[in-house]
Amino acid sequence: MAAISLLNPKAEFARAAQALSVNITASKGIQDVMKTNLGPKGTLKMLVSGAGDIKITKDGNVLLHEMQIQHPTASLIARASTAQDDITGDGTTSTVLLIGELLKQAELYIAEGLHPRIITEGYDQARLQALKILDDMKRPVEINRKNLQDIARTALRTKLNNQLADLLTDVCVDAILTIKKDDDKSVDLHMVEIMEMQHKSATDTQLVKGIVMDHGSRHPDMPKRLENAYILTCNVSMEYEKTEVNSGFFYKTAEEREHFVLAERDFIIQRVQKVIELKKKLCDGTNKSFVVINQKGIDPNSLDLLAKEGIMALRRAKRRNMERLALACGGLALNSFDDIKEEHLGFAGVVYEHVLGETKYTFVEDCKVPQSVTILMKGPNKHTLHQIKDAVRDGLRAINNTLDDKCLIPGAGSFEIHANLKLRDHARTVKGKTRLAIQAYADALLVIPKTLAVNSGFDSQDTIVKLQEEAELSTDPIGLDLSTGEPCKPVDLGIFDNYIVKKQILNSCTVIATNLLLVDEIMRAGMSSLKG
Amino acid sequence: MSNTKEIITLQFGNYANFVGTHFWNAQEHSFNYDPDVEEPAEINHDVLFREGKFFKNITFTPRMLLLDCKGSLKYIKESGNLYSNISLERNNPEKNLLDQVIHTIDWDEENIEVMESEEIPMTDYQRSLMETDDDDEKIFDLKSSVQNWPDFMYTRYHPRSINIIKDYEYHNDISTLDTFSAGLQLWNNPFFEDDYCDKIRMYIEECDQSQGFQTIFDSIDGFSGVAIKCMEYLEDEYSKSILAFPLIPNRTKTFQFADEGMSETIRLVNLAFSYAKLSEHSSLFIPLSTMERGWRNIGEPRKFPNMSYESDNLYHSSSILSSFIDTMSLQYRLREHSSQNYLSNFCAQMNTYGRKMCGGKTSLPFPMQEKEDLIEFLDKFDGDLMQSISPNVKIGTDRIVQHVTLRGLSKTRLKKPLEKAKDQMKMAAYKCTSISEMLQLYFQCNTYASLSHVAAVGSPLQVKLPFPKEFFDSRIASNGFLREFQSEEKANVREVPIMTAVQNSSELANTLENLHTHVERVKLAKVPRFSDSGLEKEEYKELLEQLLVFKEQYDENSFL
Ligand SMILES: Nc1ncnc2c1ncn2[C@@H]1O[C@H](COP(=O)(O)OP(=O)(O)OP(=O)(O)O)[C@@H](O)[C@H]1O
Ligand SMILES: [Mg+2]
Repeated sequence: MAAISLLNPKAEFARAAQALSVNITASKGIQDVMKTNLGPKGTLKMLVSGAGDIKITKDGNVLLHEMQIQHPTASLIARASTAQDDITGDGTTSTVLLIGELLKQAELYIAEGLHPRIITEGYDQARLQALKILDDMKRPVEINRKNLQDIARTALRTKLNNQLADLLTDVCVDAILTIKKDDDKSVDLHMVEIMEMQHKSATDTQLVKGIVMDHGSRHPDMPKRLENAYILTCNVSMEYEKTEVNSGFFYKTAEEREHFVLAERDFIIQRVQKVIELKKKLCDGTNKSFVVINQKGIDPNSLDLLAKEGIMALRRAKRRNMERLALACGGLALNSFDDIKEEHLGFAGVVYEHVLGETKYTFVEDCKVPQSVTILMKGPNKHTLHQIKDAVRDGLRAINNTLDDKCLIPGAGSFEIHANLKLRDHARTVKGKTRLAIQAYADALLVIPKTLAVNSGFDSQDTIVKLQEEAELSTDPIGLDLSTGEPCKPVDLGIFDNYIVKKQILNSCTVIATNLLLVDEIMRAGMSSLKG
Repeated sequence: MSNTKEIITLQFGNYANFVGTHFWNAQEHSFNYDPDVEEPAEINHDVLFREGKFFKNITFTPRMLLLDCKGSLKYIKESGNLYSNISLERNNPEKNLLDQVIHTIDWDEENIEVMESEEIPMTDYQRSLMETDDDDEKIFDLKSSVQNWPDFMYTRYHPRSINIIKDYEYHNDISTLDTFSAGLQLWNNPFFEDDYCDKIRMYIEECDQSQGFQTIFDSIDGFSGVAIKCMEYLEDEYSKSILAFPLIPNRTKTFQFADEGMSETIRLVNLAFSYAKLSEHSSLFIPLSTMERGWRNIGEPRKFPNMSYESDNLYHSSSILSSFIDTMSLQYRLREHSSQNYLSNFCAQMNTYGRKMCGGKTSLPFPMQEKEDLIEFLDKFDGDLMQSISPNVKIGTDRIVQHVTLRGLSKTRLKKPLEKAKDQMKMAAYKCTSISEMLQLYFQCNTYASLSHVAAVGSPLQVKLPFPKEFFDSRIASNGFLREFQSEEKANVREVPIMTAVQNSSELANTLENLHTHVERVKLAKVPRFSDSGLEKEEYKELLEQLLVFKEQYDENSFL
């Protein structure tokens, strides 16, 4: 989409010296597109494809993947950002900015004759040092609603307007608190289903403490709403299928074949009868009802039989929902009905159907101890839904990262300001030209607070100076207040970033910048070792 | 209870989508919208199409998913063009859509940056579809103006159908998704689990008794890996029949950062993987190409009597392959069927002894004269009734198992009634009372120790625009039969009779052996992109082994 095609992809074969400047130019190119994204005051990008498809995003990684990146350097940076996203779910814009800045800083020194090797060695030392500084700065957090809200809110407010961000913050935090175990370990995010419904407005997005499925019963006479429902979750075919072995050779006579067919049919009917028997035993004469949710098919014949008994039956449920249903309603996902019993069943207070256009939705709610929940996103159009989905994912990841890390890093540029000061101190203890590289690294980190300042309409140099002065005097982390341009204490304002995000940024940016500086070695782009 | 047994069609890769586009166009052209005409109940369109609802409107769209690279859609939106076409609205200054959208976004308007790609203009043909309904007379010169499949797309797709891979870009001259192993890797992208597979599930959920899947895929680039992974998944999740059509396009691109020689090698290895894995994960597969040879130097366009297509034109060649699939697939999508005519039975009849690969043949058009009866035609005809359209496949008339379909011949064309029969009566075939019976007899006489299943369907192949009917030569009349009297002027062909065959024979052992010989010579270490995308040396060895084992199924050790 944007102009990353500045450079001819054949540049891969350019000579080393040229290649370096090519790399730097390319990385500046992406940096320019991405830098306006950073922070809660960044610009929202609206991408319009040649056919008029609209996509709205503020997310670095999403944007990178929408752009047509042909240049190998650019695509290497894009991969770093993807890796960042895979591992942590956040910090992708920062990644692109920092790689670009590390290269820019290096360029100055290389122009003055410093060998790229020395720079890369210095960068690596600086990285280790920066990781230590990061460790010193982390703030252990108790896992409670407020702390989780802080991190989720910070993340979401960089993607959505405050009102919606705050609403989704509560949705995300509630989702995770509902399914989290007492040991405060991170949760399996697959157990938080994100379901979209294209109607109403984004602020109607809500948490459903149960399961929502995007399909419904396939029989006109089945009930549309049931209360006090036993839930039978299963992966058992109720569909009469002819198997491939039924070829002509197999049977001596046509009658024999017909006979076999009938027997097969009968077999399916018996299966259905088993379910019906259990339903009769448990529900008849009580106020209880019965729902079947099957991963396999249910053919019209079987649906008929079930409908006659007032059973609601859904077929072809998502594989993942088998596990989720058992977690939400209790019971077991069954693979056979051989000795099906009451204890295999789950239970839900209410199960009902909701029809929207072509799609039926089935809600399974009022579960006793739901260990799996659904975030039901709403929005008037596809691009809004997309935008919310990306944001909700970010919010959930940020909370989950916190459960993993049990600590947070103060945000608003405070880490970068602090690390810059500390690294400069450290550089003074280093002998030789490596010192220059460490200084360069320290300066590169400032790209984050600088860009935050510029995106909020403040002068970057003024701001940095103010922040540095304040930081030298204060024992607390000092960040940037984006509404005033003045120093602030992010901890007091509840602005936090994930530890793992910052850590991964330091690691991957250094690796990629180093690779790009040592151009010979990226001729065949050694992109394998980005993760970890 | 209707006895429709639904089929889901999956298309992987650019050429597959060329073929698919023609295929769906042809389906739609064979619909009957006229409420007064009794539905010529032969073809059950519900097998391939689904009924849907959009507000108050009923929609009828293919039960299909296609996959292609970013940039191949051009002016078509990802959500398809069923409900709206924004490009037209964008041109309308009173309704500036972008501004409208911006106003609805809850974000400081100053801080919204629009990154707009240049609008891609619609082709004349597409625009004509928006304006008037079918106008078969207009001339669009599609054969030179079509650059990609959206340019001749007539059928509207459900928003679910179009799937675009963001990581790889479409280019006119090079292909970027290069290796089978890169395709396997791509399948791990969460898009496939979260979106793509879920869409398959949604289609299946709608089906009362689906009979299985048709997959059409490019077998020489990385799409082969994606397709195979998908079939593995289908097998696992649904255990229904899978009929696959691996394709070799008649015009190949080179791969990124590879010269022609290297590209040939990559193609060959991809193809070998496709065949080997299909022997494992499909119920039956029929490789298709308009080229005679498909391994190293893809070449020698197949010739078809009575038509002259441009041998390097994708739009042309794909229509030939599509008409084959359209016709042979009638076997399992007729309305009147005995319980025999389902995909599962079709596959079971053709894949005995694990011989899952078959060859395809077609005669486009079926070379009968306007006034001729079938009995006369078969009596007089000398030569090859059909031409092979499977690369490196040559199947004769001995010990074959085949499924033959003839469409476009009404029962009145079988033979003359008694009082006019004259010499016809002397022929043994005169006792045949149906087209299929007579063909059955014909094949009994013209093959040796073979088994033929024959189906005859009355309705011909519709060749309305955008089918490239210009390639039929002047011998073909507008009803698709050979003219009785020569004429210089080409007719405006509207429909044609066509015959196809799917054949299995031990001669296919040669095809597989030949492929094995070629691929065995490849030094995989010299093509690092395979190992770069995760292929282990062991897997390559296993591939060669698997091909050999597969080939052995075809050795003449049994009565076939
Ligand atoms: N309220 C705030 N005030 C000041 N700085 C903030 C505030 N909220 C977030 N930030 C800072 O903004 C930066 C994150 O911005 P943003 O989320 O746009 O980019 P990213 O995390 O690098 O990339 P991604 O696009 O993947 O989210 C962090 O440095 C964070 O500390
Ligand atoms: Mg962020």
